Amino acid sequence: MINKKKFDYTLAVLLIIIIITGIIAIYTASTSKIGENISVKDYWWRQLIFTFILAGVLFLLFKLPMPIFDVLVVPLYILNLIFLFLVLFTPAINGAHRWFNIFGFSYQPSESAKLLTILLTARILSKEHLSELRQLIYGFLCVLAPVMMIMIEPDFGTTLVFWISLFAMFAAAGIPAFYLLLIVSPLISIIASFHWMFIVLWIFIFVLVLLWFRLSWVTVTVSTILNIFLAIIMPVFWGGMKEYQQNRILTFLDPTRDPLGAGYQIIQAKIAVGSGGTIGKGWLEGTQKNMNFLPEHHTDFIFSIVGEEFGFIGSAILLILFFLLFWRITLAIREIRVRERKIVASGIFGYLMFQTFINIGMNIGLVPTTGIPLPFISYGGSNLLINGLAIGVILKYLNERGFIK
Amino acid sequence: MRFRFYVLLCLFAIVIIIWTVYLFSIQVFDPLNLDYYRQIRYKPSKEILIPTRGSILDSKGNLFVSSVAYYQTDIDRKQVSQWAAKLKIQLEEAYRIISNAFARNSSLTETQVFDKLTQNKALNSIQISNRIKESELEDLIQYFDKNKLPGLIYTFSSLKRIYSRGITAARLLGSVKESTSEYDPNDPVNSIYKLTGLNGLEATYDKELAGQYGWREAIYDANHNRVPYPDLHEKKPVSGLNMWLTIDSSIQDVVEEALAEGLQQYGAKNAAAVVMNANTGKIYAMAGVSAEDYYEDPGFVRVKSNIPVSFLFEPGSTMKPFTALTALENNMISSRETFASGARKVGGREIKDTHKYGPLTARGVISKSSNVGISIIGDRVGKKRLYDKLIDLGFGQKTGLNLSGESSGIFHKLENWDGYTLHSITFGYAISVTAVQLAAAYSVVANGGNYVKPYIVESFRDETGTIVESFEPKVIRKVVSKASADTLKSYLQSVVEDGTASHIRLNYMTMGGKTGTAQKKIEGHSGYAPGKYTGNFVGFFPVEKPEIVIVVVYDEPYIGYRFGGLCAAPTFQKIVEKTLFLPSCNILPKNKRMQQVTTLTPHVIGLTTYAAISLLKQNGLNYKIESHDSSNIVVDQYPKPNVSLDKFHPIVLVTGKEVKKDDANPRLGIMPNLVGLTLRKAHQISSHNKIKIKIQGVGIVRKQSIMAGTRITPGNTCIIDAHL
Repeated sequence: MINKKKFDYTLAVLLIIIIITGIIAIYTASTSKIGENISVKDYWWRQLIFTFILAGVLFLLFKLPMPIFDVLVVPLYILNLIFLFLVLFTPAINGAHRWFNIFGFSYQPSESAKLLTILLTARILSKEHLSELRQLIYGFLCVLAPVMMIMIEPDFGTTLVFWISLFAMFAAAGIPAFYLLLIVSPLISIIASFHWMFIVLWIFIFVLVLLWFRLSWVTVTVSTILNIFLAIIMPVFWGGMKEYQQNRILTFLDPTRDPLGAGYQIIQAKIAVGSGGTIGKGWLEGTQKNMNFLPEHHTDFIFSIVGEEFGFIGSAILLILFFLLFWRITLAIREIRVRERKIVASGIFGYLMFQTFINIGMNIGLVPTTGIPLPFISYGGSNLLINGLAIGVILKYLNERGFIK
Repeated sequence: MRFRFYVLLCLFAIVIIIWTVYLFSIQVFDPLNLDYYRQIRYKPSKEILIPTRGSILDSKGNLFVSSVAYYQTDIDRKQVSQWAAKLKIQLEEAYRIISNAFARNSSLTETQVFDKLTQNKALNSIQISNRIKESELEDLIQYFDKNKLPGLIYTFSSLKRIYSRGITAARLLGSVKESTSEYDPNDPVNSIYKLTGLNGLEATYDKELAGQYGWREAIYDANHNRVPYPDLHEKKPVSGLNMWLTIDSSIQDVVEEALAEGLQQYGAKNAAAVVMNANTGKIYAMAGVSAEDYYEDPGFVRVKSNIPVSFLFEPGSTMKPFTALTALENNMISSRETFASGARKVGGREIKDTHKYGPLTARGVISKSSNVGISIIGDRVGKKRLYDKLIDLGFGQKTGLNLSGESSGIFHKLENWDGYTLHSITFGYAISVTAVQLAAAYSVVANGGNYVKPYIVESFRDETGTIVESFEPKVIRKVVSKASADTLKSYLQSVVEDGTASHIRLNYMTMGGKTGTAQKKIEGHSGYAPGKYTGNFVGFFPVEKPEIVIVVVYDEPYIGYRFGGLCAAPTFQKIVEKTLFLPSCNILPKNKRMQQVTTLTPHVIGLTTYAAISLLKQNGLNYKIESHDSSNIVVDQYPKPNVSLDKFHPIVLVTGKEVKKDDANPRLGIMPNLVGLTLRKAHQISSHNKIKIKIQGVGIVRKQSIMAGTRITPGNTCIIDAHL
């Protein structure tokens, strides 16, 4: 099952190292030490159990013949959509319907939807004789179905992950660059809309680039007008946003605006990271964590704990580990020759990298709080399983390369 | 495609570089000074612990004033919502659980708390109440700990004085004011929350009552829970000392009741009375009331002046005995000698008597209260002797009671006396006194010639009941010989036997006393105000071996009641009678007290008020009704049914909506209500609740020193007053 010549041991070892780092981080995050009193919560061994489950699942994945793997994608995707629908009827926790609770463990269908959507989208994008426009539309529709239901949950942060991975897949599928630019342009228009100078500058560059691609005048005019319209309509849209969404964005721009409410987590996380200094406060000594100033410190804000207890050195090592992991994945994308698999690998790369950088950015106060966990490090069973499985899929592709379809 | 691959790599590299550089800058260079937080997290904050202000108790240990500490409790809603998320329950349900916890352990109701919790959603933590008592708070904390409930935050809120006996002795006890200021570490004692005595005993003994502040170092985590960090220091606060007075609250009650009746009957502006032990100087009761006191706010009454020590009046005839006393001491009059009465011209002024008696003996001068007679004796005594004696009797000086607002009276120096002063003073003009001065001076006559220092504070005791400081009776000086004092005593007895106060004579008790009436001076002028009088009476009993001296003063009674014999003397009699029949009073031999017939109380609980009253009337019993609303069902009665009681003692009927079942299991550690029970039953309940009790008297429980419903600390003894 494992082809010794083709298997990417480096990637596998990196994965193992990062997961072990994660368990260590969860151990310290779930421990509170005050004076000589130490109390440890059971998160770390739960994560350990999930690690073993992941190992088993990966073992099965490698054993699974490729044709059966291919056949499974569509039914699993549909099953996942059903789960996404059913989860809306569970009782709300913190105002959101995101989890199924089974035997004390919770399962988030939106996690598995990430991987399955990538697999299905790649399958559709690599159908033969599809025009670029159709690729765009089909890809968009594939992602839209789960995203709609996740928006109802509501879980805005997770839906971003889908769009990013879709974008990465389009890029890998060879969609012309101007299409990509057109897709991204509304987002940039929205961001630019806060000042008219930026709107003018952005629209100018936008038109120039489109002309450089030698697009028809109709396309250029229509897309330009649409973007200007978006930039102007933005304030209206802002008024229609829910208050907590507005708050998140505003608080990100100025965390001191509401130091006890929405800005609280950002400020406390920043204090945790910053007060760690060069070498950190030491094993189990994080005060922000021990005194409960930093909420959710075993899930979304675990990077702050690493920063607090191990300082710059610790967080830099963690960043390097992630860098190496993604470096290996980019190499894998280059190695994989099958179009569908290449697209899958790019999607996975986009989705993991986005989650990683957004989460770390959130911990150091550069990105608004979105509720996206740090892959492999944050506590969470379904999170670890799906992320591990995603790397597993890449490993499997690498393992199976040479069987050209 | 190769191009895109490199664009991707660049993007990836840029992000990772930005993140790393940013991390490096905030962690290594720390431009935001975040390292500061690292230092402050474990830095203990100093909390001030507020001592409880000492209580004021009467001589039997009944509470007059006590303190209760109130705490402010808040709920951190963020913690609650996190907790609810963890338990996977609705937030609303979490609020219900917390409301229920409050309802179980405090006087708040579930809906009150729930409403508070759902108000003002923008705030993280919400105040539930700032009037949670210490005992309730302890229960709450335990309950929250036991059930692992989140979010309870509490801080000291305020100290309140509890006046167990309402307006009784309000002016004597005085009041406190609340002052708060920011905590100043350099001067921790003077700059924080405290109760300061404003007037009355609270002000005089503020230092003893206040106690000492303590402090505690504490480290709090984000949820405001105290963190069990090692090496934190603490200094416990020292509670204020409890002040035990010489006041006997049952006598105080008797006096205030009598004064209240008198005020109404005689239409006086103010009234004052002092009951004092003639031999020891202990003040058993000190009451001063104004007509307005009964409808004004009690808090306002408390800041008013204490009439018995501050109100100055010219005593009138009550001064006469002292001139006679000086003459007796110097052997200047003999018992056979007679003095003219009627009218007499001295200088340009005429001295007149109200009635014509003809020549009177010295006894007659006192008992008939002849101005002319006493002025003749005054002439014989002379200025110097009278002045010295009056100084020895304590006039013109403070008594040493040390009460706030005490006046030393107006008694001119000898060199300032003019031609009339001597005569005026003999019958009580040209000198102003306080009620307490008069009581002290009369006790010299009563106890055989010694001036004893009046005192009102018996002892200061700490929380455990150990006496820290106690005050003993003190004889200041010997003023006159026992012989002269006893002679005068017999004169004063004849005032009551066949003199100006013969209408208040009691056939079972010998009393001595003197009436006094004086026209009031116009303030700021030398003249007298027409139609404004003060009437007073000073008396003592029993004459054979006087125990108690009582002074009663009425200020501006109706003109018809202006004579001390008409207004103050009947009140004096009332006080004497009631005091004699108090269970704790042993002046009257027991067999005399037991003359009264005892009877069994009928069972009236459950009847309508009308039916109950008619049943009581049939049995010839008095009654009092206590009702809180308009309902007319008798839900309770004191004494309880089928106990024997004295026939004249009124039965208290409590009305309400429905008859409550007795609480079968009163909460442990909380004082049950024992009033109205038989001693046997009270003993049963208290031993069941492990409360030490000390029983005084026999019969039915009338009073308990610890109020029902208060928390009992081990070692507290409840003193139970019982009588038939």
